[in-house]
Amino acid sequence: MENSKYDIVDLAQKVVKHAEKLKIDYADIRIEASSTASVLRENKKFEDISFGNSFGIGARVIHKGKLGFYSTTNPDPFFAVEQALNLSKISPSKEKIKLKDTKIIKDKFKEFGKDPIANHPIEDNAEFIKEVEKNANISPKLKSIRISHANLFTNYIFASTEGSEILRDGGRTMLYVFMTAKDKGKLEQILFRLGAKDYTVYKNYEEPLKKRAKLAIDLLDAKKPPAGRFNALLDYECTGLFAHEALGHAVEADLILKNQSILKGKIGQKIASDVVNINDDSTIPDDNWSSFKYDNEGVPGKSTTIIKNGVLKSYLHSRETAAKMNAEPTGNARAQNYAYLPIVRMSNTYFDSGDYSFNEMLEQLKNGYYLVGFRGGQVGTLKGTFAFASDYCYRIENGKIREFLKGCTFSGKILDMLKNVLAVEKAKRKFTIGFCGKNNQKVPVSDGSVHMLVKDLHLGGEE
Amino acid sequence: MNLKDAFSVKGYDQLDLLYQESNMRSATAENNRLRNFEKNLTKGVGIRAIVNGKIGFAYTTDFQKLQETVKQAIKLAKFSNLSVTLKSYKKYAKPKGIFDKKVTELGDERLIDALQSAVSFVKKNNTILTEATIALSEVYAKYLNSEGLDLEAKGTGFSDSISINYKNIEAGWTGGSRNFENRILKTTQNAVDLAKNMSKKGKIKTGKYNVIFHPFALQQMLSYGLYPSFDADFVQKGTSKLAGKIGEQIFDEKLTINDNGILDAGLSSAPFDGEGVPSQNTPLVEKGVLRGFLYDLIRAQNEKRESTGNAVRNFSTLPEIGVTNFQIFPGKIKDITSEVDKGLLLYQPLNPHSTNPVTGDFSLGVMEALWIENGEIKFAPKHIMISGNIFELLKNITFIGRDVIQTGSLVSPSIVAQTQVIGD
Repeated sequence: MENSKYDIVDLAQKVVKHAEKLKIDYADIRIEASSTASVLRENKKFEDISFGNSFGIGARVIHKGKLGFYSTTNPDPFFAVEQALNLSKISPSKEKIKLKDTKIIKDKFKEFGKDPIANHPIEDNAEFIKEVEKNANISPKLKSIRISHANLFTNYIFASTEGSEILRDGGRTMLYVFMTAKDKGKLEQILFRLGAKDYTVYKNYEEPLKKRAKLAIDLLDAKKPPAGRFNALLDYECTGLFAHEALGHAVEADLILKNQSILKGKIGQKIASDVVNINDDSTIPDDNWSSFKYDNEGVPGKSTTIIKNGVLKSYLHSRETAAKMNAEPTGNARAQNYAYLPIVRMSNTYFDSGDYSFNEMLEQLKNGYYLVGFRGGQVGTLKGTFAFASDYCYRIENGKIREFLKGCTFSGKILDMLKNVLAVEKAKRKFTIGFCGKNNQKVPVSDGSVHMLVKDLHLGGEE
Repeated sequence: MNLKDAFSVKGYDQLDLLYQESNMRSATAENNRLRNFEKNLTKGVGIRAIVNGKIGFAYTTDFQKLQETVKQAIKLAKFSNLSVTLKSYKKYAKPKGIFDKKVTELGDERLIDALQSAVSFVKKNNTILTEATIALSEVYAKYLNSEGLDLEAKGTGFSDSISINYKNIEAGWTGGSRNFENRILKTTQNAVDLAKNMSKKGKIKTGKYNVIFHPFALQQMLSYGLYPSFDADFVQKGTSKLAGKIGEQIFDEKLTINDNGILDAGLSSAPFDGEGVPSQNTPLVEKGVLRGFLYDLIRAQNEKRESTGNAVRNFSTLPEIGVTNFQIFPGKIKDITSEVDKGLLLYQPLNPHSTNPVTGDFSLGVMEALWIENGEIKFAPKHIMISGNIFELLKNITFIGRDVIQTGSLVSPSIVAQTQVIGD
């Protein structure tokens, strides 16, 4: 992949100088020169092999306490910041917007990893996808194997009138395999996904992929679980999603300030059972998908303890929410790309491991369901209700794993569910990658954990 | 920049180009206060090169790289396994009401005034406006191909979305149109009314009830669970439940559906699709009988038939089959709520993207819903879920309303059907 002909450092410095000349109180700009290489193959045919490059500038101005934001593909260095200034002047805000002070950062780094994305041209990716297809194709019952692979390469700069200048060169690679099984008129679809900042993620993918392919076939003959309230064991994917949906969104400080969260005013209060410890950590080194050194306001990423032994310790902040709530920025201001304003987002959200072994938890559960794998979730942060779906589950009887069943949605209330966590497994955390959507912006996130035992879970299966 | 320079590059058999320019502006309010104003201007071009019948694709936002991008597309064509023959057409329908000059000329201060009026209205009603966005867009597209097509189209959009907190009950409402309308107070009123209705709480028992699926709920559930089944790509690959069923009674005879790409004032109407094919009005279901599927050029040529003009794309993507305006025809019942003895009025399911795109199975939480008894709104049921299957649901419709609204790609009234509701 080739780099853009624009010198983004030179461009950023020009914009900042121009903002200073215009006597703007505060301005920051983000410039991105990106290229994408994507491959789509379905049923032994390449349906899409494409290449693209894009360039964009996003300028955020806070002048006299008012915020204006302008983004464009136009590379004129002065245009964006002048437009943003004009927008701040007509901005309707009556309340003055302030940013909490933060360290001035000058940094320049590459995120290429051990096996850089740039070493893998699109021709090689095409070969790799063929190999993935071969590995997934374990049975004629798999009616369709759809493989989507994409590499995104971004040369990014953040610069502000406060003096910060952060230059990052790097990218992301991702692989999504949709497997559809069909037999006697029945259909099932299962997704396998991998993503990281470099290609080491594709080492040893074969066995996990084959397991997922087999799952699609096994689900064809599986029955649906029942509806009602049950105690349940959640696997690391469901637990991670629980940390993200049932808690994470409700501690985003912008939602607190907008009166959209049930956790408003609850810092220092016991909101969960003693065994609950939840963190958001953008610096986890072994998670190579959604960790970051700095957020999109130039604040260093960090580990934030959200819940410690059941007590709510902290919200997640941007510089703006930190200023309003007199807290410290937690480095959680993220934007999908240059065209969006950064807002408060999670990074890698997880339950800390606990004291129980898997077998102890099965025994304690005795009768109930064991839910595995996730198909996404959603939360209403004010109502405090969430719902998410598992890929499949097992019925548990007398502490033994019995029949294999289809997945189902489970739903609950944040405050009830956090108190209903009975036990957390002592094991190494595992993470699942994905994207999280909020205010029409998608950012990469990961959720992780270990097994967890919960009582009184509301399953939405069949009567 | 001259887009026609793309065609002077050598090495392709056929070539097409989609240029898009979009101008967006939006104002937002949060927590009863006006917050900020933002604008975005994006220009980009996507190139498809066909070499020996195979397709290569590349895009850029840098117009000095136009010819280089064409060369990239030509280079990539050799890997592709898909083939297509580009065509030219003479006649294009001209849907009315998709461009409103007023949207482009409206002063920024008018957006702010509108938002301010929503904030004042909400305060008077002792509620909190948690979040509101009002947005205007203007999009210009140009499509050129080596077969002589040189097309252009423009459109505008206006959307408002309001979220309300009333006694810690949150409810939202959205509006969308091609023209600028003075409707923000109506949108706000709807959100306030819904929040107030939801503040009364009650419990219901698990059972099968008549559920009134409001168009907001339908748009979410059908886009995941039904639209993909009409996609000829899924049909040809055998992953559509409707494959091989043309002419069969698949749904209740009360149900008639068209995909209407030329609907006047339709949010997804345009004279041509992403391949320069004329947009059209395609019958999908007539009185419950399956009449057709949606095609782009590739899938149409696989079956030696004509495209239905459903190649959906933007400049940075290859065309994919998608719905335009998915139009469900109104039924006979005027006031739906008053016709329901005992049932649920559903506005927003929770986690609708977990609806299975292949089987149509759903098992969803509920975000916004009201319980109806003897034709009257009673309360918001505490902690319920709904489950079922989209295809089964549409086979047994109790009745269809006349309250047609346009939300996203759906143009539909409310639909009432017996559905499993899991109570608390």
